[in-house]
Amino acid sequence: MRRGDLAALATAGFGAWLLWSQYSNIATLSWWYDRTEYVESMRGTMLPSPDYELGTLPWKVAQPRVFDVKPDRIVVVTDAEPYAYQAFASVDTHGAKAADIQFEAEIEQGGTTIGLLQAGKWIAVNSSQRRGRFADSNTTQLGHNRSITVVIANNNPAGETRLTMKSLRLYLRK
Amino acid sequence: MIRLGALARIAIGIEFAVAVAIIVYAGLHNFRDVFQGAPPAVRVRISASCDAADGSGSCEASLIELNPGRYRIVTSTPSTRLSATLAADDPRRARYLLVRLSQPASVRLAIEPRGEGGTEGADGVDLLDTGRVVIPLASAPSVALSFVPMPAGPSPAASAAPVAAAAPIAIDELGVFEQRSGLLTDVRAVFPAIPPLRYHGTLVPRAIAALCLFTIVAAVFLPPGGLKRYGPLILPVVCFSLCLVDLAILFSPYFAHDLRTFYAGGDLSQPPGTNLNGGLHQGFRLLTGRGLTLMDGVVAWERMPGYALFCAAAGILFGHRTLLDLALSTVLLQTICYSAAVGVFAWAAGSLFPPAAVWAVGLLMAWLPKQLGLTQVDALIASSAILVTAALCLRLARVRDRRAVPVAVDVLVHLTFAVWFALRPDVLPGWLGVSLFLHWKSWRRLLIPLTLFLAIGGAWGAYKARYTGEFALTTTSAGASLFCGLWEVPSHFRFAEACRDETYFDWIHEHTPFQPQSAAASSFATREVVKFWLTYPGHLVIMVVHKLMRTLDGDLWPGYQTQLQVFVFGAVGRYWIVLPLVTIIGLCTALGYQRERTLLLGWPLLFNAPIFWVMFASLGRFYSAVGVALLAAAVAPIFERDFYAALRSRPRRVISVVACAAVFAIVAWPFHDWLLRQDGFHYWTPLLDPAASRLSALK
Repeated sequence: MRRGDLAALATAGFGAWLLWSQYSNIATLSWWYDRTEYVESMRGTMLPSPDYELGTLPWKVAQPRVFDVKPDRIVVVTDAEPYAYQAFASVDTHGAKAADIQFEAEIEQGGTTIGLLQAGKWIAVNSSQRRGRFADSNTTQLGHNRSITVVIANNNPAGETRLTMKSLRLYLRK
Repeated sequence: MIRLGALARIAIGIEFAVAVAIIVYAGLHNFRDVFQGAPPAVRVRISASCDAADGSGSCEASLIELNPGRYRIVTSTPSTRLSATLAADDPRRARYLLVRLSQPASVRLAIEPRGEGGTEGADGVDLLDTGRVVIPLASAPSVALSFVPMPAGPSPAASAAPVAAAAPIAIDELGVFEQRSGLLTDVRAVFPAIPPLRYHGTLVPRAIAALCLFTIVAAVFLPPGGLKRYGPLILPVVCFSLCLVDLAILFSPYFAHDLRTFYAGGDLSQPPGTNLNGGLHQGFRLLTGRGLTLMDGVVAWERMPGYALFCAAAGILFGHRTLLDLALSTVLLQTICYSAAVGVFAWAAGSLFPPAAVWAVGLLMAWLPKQLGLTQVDALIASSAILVTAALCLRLARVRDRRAVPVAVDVLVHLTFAVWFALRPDVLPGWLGVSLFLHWKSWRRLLIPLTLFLAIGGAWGAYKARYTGEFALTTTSAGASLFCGLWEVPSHFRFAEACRDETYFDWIHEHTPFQPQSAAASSFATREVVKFWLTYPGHLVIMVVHKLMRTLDGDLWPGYQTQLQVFVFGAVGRYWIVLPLVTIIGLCTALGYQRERTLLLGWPLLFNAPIFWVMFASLGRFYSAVGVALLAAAVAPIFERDFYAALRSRPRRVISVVACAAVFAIVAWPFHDWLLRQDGFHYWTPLLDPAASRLSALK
């Protein structure tokens, strides 16, 4: 095969990849915005049953000073290490292709990050360093890994954070 | 297998077409957002008043119509309240109120429907200066709005009571609309869920930049005949789209200020003569029969007439009902001219370069950072430089083919230089140098540039003389430019700070009886600057080295970078792009490969950039011709087989040039930094007594 033909083949392949990857990236992001808007719009309405809720997630703690689980809330007082994971709950995805998370917390002091991990990487993150109500939604596409982890982390560079998780719903979408 | 290669080329052709279609669509989609700023508003009758903060009662609310139905309102003094009444011709269509607060940081807006059908009572909305807000309106014949300044801050308690105003109230946008769509986000057929900032600010420009780079590679595999035939038609459209992609980021109505609010709240509210409004005022006054003047009896001392004439032409073509309309018309014509210049270049260069090289150079010119949203002459210099390059390509092609160069071609070449001269006089050294190079064997043709120079300079000089009483063929700002140029390198000298016209005026008044705008003042300043160079030769050397390094560091591609350019410049620093291109010019020169072509097309590197190493460079905004020339001279050889054959034929010279370039690349910045720390050299006075200089005072 001539070098020119090889170069043409490589360029054609590169072009196809480029066009597809650009479309795919933007389409994924568009899906995310669409989906997040939908999930957020569901707040305050009759919410469908989530796959997991605050009380049904299998929480494990890292090193918070307080992690007090009650039927309708969890009180968390983190340790002083900035950005450290405080509590996490790993669940099986059951082959889901996407996950939606919706939560409401009350930050009394410091800041927090609430999100989803898969294969050790953040795939959805929401953070706040402001006192008061912190309610948000997020959505993400899932990889092939069979489990995801819901994480509550300290996001206070100055030290301890106090917050109350009032609700957290996790939806797994096939 | 040959069939596979042919199939790959067909696929590349399709991908190329798709990429170009996407680029064009992405750009043209932004046209209305850039030039209108909002969908058509509902026509309203509007009145406004305000309460002065000091209780004097002397407060005026001025209204500027941005588009029919969309207004900017600003109070003349610090105010405790701005009131406006909007009465729509068709109240049923008045369903949404668009507001954008500029200052103060926070106001309480009370909305009170009035008249039959209007709901009793007022709604209150807290507004921040963070962008557009859309508020639904109750159906009523008219609506009364009241803006009361509030303390800024997150605390609800803090915003419970109004505070005394410390600044005028400015509402950048106020209008009534029938529909909400198109106010907070653009109406998009694709990916409508993505917010405008993310979509237009990042995703689109980065994707477009990647596609542009792909088309440069793909062009190599396209049929040369087709690319040569259709390239000059496609490139201007692609260029226009890329310009719009840039403008939509810099002047987005959704996450920045659209062009109309930018100008209405910016330079058009300033007295005539600023960088962005000088040409507009001159053009507007010309169109309204008041001459090419800035104000009654005042001509621009630091400008040639070309840009004002250009503004007037834009007004004739696209409208000049108000100064704001003229500004938008000018930006549009600037964009069209830039795109057309790229098209002309593609057509002219087609006879000189391989089609893929023409596409690459043309597309890179279209992709460069630009200043097209700004109504100042610098926005047109790149277009002029591209036209000069195009004309030189036509001439070079004839010389290469050993055909005689008709007088008409030389007239065309010099006409393009003359256009530049009519805009800005910095072309003169280069025009002279190129003219001598082109016509040293047929010196009679030097009469062409001489005639054009005298015609333009003489006409402008004679026109100005009616107002100034003195005759000057160009501007009378060379002294001011040299004066300000001295301080563009860190030093301990008294004036080593941002140099402005006022700094120069004060200095002239301090030392002479001359009017600072006069030729006499310019001559005085020039003499003093030359004396200063001789007094402090170290400062001159450091200044030139510093500005040279800034030029190589990317200042030669001035203009606002958006993600369209950051996509590349973020991955590879501009210094590491500029130096290889300069090295290619060095290789062509050292190897004798297309030496004449390379030096002619790259003339601004030799004759234009160095001017600004001693004169005022203004952070590099004057360099756009240099960046264009670098591309024209250095990119084309990359696409030419003969260039590589020339490289192979003289390996020692190639190694020498590349080694020198590599050493320079590595050593230049450390040397520059070291040199700037050498105060002993910087303030060394071996020739003249510093006490004799009127510029040498240290801080």
